Amino acid sequence: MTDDTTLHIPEQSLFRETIVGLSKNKGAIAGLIIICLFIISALGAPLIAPHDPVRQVIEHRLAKPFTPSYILGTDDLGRDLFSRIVYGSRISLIIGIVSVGISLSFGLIIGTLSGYYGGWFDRIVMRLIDIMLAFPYILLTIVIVAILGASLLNAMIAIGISQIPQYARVVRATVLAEKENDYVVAERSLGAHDLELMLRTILPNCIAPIFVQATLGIGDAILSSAALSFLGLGAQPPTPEWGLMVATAKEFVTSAWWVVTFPGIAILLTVLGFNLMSDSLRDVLDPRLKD
Amino acid sequence: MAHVTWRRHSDDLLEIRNLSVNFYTKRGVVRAVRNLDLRIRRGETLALVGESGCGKSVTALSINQLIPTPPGKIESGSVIFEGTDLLTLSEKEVQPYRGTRISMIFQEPMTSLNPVFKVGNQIADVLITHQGYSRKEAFQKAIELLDLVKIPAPERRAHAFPHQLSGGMRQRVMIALALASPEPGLLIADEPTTALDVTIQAQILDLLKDLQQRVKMALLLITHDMGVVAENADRVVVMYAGCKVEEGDATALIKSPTHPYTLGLLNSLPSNKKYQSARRLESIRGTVPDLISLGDWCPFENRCPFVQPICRTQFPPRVELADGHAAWCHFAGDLPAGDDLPAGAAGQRPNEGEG
Repeated sequence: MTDDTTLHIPEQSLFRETIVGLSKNKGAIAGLIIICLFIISALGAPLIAPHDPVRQVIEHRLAKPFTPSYILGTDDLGRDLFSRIVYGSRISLIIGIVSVGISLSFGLIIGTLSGYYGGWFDRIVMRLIDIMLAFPYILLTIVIVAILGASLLNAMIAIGISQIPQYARVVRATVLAEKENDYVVAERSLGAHDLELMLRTILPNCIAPIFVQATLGIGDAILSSAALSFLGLGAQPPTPEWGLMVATAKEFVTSAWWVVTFPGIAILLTVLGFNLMSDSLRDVLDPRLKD
Repeated sequence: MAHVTWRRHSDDLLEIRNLSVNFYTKRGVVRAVRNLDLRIRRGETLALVGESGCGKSVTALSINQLIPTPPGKIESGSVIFEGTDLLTLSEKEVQPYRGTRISMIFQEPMTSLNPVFKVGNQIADVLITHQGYSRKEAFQKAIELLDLVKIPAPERRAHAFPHQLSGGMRQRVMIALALASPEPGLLIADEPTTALDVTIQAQILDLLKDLQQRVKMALLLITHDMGVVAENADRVVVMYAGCKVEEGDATALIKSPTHPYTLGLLNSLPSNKKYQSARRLESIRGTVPDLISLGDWCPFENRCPFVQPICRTQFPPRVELADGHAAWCHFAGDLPAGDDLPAGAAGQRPNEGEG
């Protein structure tokens, strides 16, 4: 065979390529370490936390950090900060997954249909999305929470809904680009119908940008929920939610710096981890940046 | 079924009648195909020849209703496949024909395969959809098909992603995909060898010919290469600017081309004789006219070396030259034969023509 130039098929898949690409990227490694620590603390919270996160020991209130019994000190009600932050990661992880889950599933459906069918459907949907985007993000979230009532679950739903436009846009744009490819016509000529074309032909090719957006979205959702809880619209006391912890302790910021600082650092690190990860993923997955 | 059925020529597999396809663009209406008639008999190879932009691919895509609408629109005509007019069918009704009785091979093997799936799975998917195999059986059958299109080590190649295969290999995979139907009737090959280098072209064409005889299917071979036509086709239809300009048996048409455009195409073919005499490769001067501003006269008038006043006012009639051999030219039969062409007439290569 004269055209047999590829006798040795290298064992490379998108997954493997991504892993190799990420391992060469310092930001990605840093992000990955942070995310791993975050997930470990979320999953193993009861094992890691030395104290009950909601048990109040009034005689130990505002204990200084870096002591053997209270590593990060205690808050104004004598609750162990370290345990609260560890349990808080659990809540943050749930917030990230649930909100991104909501916005991703709606965004996927809206974006795919809009990009694939185009025409008047696309125009109407995209104008609605534009209207949603015209509201400041946090304002939109607050409005939705105000309608649904202040609770952690409602905060997640609100964040999920207000993030839909971002996902719908990313999905629509990639579907628009992918559906022009020859293989879509080729598969249509082989008898594939619209649903098959959307789900089996086009969407698998759109995974990279959607994945990047979702990773970024988890960080965003955690940050937004902290903001909502800080404003009293998200988690309610005594839930060990990071934003709420910052909010309830803010009056002690001058006398006991640790009560505000450590939950703040937890928020910062987690969001930073997801942002670093999504940035590196974008670099690795973007075919234009590949050599 | 609710649609009208025809029965005329019992050996006709596909009959295209009076097909017109327009594209509505911002610049105006592009008349891609105009009143085209075409017949393909069972088991034969029909070559559809012409330059880029002559409406060959649009014709092929119209058969299966694969024209993107909008901007495209099939204005009139019928495509009768085994007694059923495919153009009267809805998208849902035409789907069962796609990939089963009518399959297609595309020009660009590099982009016509889905990049994220293994080729074996892509073939298997078609088998599962059309023939109800289980996934395991389908993958096994896919390996058999890869073997049938002469891919070496098919068990391993089935696990390869498209980007791991060469162009020739991918085109073989495309052919295997087209063969993954229970009873292929018509295979439409839209410039199957254009993106491949010459040695592989020959292999792919041989493969198509071989498979055609083995599974008894008709082949609509779309090409711009007269060499490919001479090697493979039973009958030839030459298209120019959306119209048929000449048709006939391949041997007769190549031996005695009648339409000036066919003459030009044949003269543009590189040959050993020409290289020996150190003549430059010839071309037809000018380019295909703008399909938006076509008038009702001979579409070839602006490039024809024999152009007469009548060519600029009237659409040429069909002139029957021999049994089944016809040309659409006012002067068909009166033109000098291929070898006697005045030097540089169809083959001018002055600065004004960019070919």
